[in-house]
Amino acid sequence: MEAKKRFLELKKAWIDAKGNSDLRAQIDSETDAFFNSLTDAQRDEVIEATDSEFSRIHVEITDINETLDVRDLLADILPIVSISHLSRIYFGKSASWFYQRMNGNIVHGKPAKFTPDEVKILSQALGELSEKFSRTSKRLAV
Amino acid sequence: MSDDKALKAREEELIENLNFFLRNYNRLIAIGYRQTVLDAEIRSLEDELKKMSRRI
Repeated sequence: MEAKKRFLELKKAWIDAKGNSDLRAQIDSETDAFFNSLTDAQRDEVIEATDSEFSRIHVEITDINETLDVRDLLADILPIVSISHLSRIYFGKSASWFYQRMNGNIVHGKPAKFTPDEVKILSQALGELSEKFSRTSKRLAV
Repeated sequence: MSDDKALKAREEELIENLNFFLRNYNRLIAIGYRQTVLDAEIRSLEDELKKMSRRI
């Protein structure tokens, strides 16, 4: 597992060195030396690590797309409802909790998102609010 | 309120990850990664990232 660990360290170092071409060149040389030193078993480790990273990127893209789906659906609603009220009444949370999930913020090192159960609660909450709007609309029309 | 900063940062991290693998494309082939699989994977990730980026 040492080769995988080193490979991921080199990847992180290269990414973190964005904007610093000298440092990236240095990491590139280290990566070259690393690849040239691999045994057959270590080569397999690096290939597996690469596959795992590709899978992770796919999952992360799906995750971001799901956040964008919720955000897009809420775009018309947000200006006309109190997120503070919605969060407190239906989730027992603050408005910032809600926005962290809607915006996919990193919270405690992990991207925040609505769980499937929270999406259901949100759907039910908007349904209830919709009924309240409808009832009030009908009363006003009388 | 709606804020793209966090999603933009996550998008940037994914793009840089992909760039790292593009940078090491020849090295990965040299250690035995199948080129057709690598090409397909990279193309797929590029497409997904492009579609996602347009939405942010």
